[in-house]
Amino acid sequence: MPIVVKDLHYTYNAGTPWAVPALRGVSLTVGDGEFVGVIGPMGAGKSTLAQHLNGLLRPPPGTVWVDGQDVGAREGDLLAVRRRVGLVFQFPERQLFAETVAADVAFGPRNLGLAPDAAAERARVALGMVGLDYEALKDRSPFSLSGGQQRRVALAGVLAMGPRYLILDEPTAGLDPAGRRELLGLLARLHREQGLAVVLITHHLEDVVRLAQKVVVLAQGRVAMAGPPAAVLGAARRPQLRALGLDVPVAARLVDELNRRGWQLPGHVVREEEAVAAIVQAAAARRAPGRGAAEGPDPAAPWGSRPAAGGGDPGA
Amino acid sequence: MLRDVTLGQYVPGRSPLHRTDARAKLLAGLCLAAALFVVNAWAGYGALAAYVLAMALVSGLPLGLVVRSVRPVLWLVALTVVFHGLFTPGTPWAGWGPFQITVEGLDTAGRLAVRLILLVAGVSLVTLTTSPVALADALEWLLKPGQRLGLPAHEIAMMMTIALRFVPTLLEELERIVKAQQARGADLETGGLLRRARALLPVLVPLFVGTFRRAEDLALAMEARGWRGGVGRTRWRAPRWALGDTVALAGSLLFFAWVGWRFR
Repeated sequence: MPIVVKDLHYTYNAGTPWAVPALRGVSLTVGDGEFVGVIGPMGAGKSTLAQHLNGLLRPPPGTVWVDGQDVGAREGDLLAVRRRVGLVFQFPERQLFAETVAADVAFGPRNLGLAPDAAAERARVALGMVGLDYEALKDRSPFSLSGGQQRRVALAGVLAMGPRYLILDEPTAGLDPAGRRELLGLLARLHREQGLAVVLITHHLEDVVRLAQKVVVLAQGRVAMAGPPAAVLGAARRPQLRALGLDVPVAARLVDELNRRGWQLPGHVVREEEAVAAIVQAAAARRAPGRGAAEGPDPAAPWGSRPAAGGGDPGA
Repeated sequence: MLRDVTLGQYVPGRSPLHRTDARAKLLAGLCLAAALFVVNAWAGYGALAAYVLAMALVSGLPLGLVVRSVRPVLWLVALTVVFHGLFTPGTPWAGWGPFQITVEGLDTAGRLAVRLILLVAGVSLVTLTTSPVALADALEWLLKPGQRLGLPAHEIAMMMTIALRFVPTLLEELERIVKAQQARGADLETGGLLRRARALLPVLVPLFVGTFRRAEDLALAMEARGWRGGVGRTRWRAPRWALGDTVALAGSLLFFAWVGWRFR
């Protein structure tokens, strides 16, 4: 069963001089076990949308459904929604509070009414999921850990609730490239191995393009585009993405640049490994006699002269 | 819930009240407070209420906003009413067993409630129509005579500005943390007093940690820009006192003096 959002509107400080419309009729679906990337520039309404998905902001009745439950229904059980839909805020390490890592991660399960030992077991499993060693860390203060570790502990705190949907608001913000890669790898693994549906909210298309099955672009509180990455990030759409202030992924930029110089690479290529394969193939065709590849100094020669062995390497 | 706190929030505008010099507004506010505690007759409260209402209308702000600014002190008002109603001796009005609500108690409680509400509404009108910087400048000016006695006027004003500046920021942070813990199933809204106090721990610890981090960042940023206290510091925008300010302040003070003398 999916999360379904239908024509959701939301205005901050409604009825005061500070009224700011944040969502103006957003509709989307997050399928069971689906990996969805929600992208958009700052102020597009991404975080506001996220908070409606687990009832932190109460949606109007009939606009947000989680596994068939109307989140906005008056008599609705919000705890049931929050158990299903785990929300990881931006800089989640800033919510750590307990004296020990184990107690902090067990906070969620305890709120669900689990006994201390059952909650501790959940904490052990959750810390394992984020690649941390429970025995080594359980008695340490969360404040004594490194920033990257703190973020994983905070993520484990949400995973320990046992959600079916994991919503992450800019989870890679403030991480170095290695930390970012690790975290994205972790999300991919959770999606693959635990069957979790993941909603990754970010303004980095690069993070989304590799992992997401579906991309939803929000702009000014509306869904500007939605679909599989190859369609949303396809060549025809890229000027629009740039106009929104979003960075098009490197592989797509490379394809655009080569096409500008006379190559004919398919516009739906947005992932690095696809780009490499397409370029290698095109280069081979260009080198073949009879094709018009010999006009003057070929700017793409270094690429064309490379052996085809690079084709299988994702380059990551 | 948290957005109800309008204290320290500033709504820019171009009304006469907005344009009045901050020093005049601050003095008028102080004198309003004094008048509220001198006056002892209901008619006097009526006159002062009329003054506050008139100022609210002049400010051009939505009246709902001014009413909302009073909301945070309503529980204090309720508490006062209950205590005075119950524990003032006099003619009984209603009662259950040992608990007696007296007419005198209700009267005292009503006066206190009106005082508190008018005070907060008046102060809110000042902060709603005055930019925090102008307000701090006015405060510094007001404290200046104390400087000879070693009162750090500039530092106090600076602390005020910073405190006011961070009220919305910290409220926002508080709201984020509350939401994050609610997302983990924390229940902050039900249960007895003790339970609720315990439930606040997961909110307060991150809030304090965050506040200290902010304070350190701010201190560093101020030092990096060469802040060394108030000595010899010049102003970008020097406040200018106009004839209208004199008239408004003198009018207000005369009115307060009259009300205070007439309804003692």
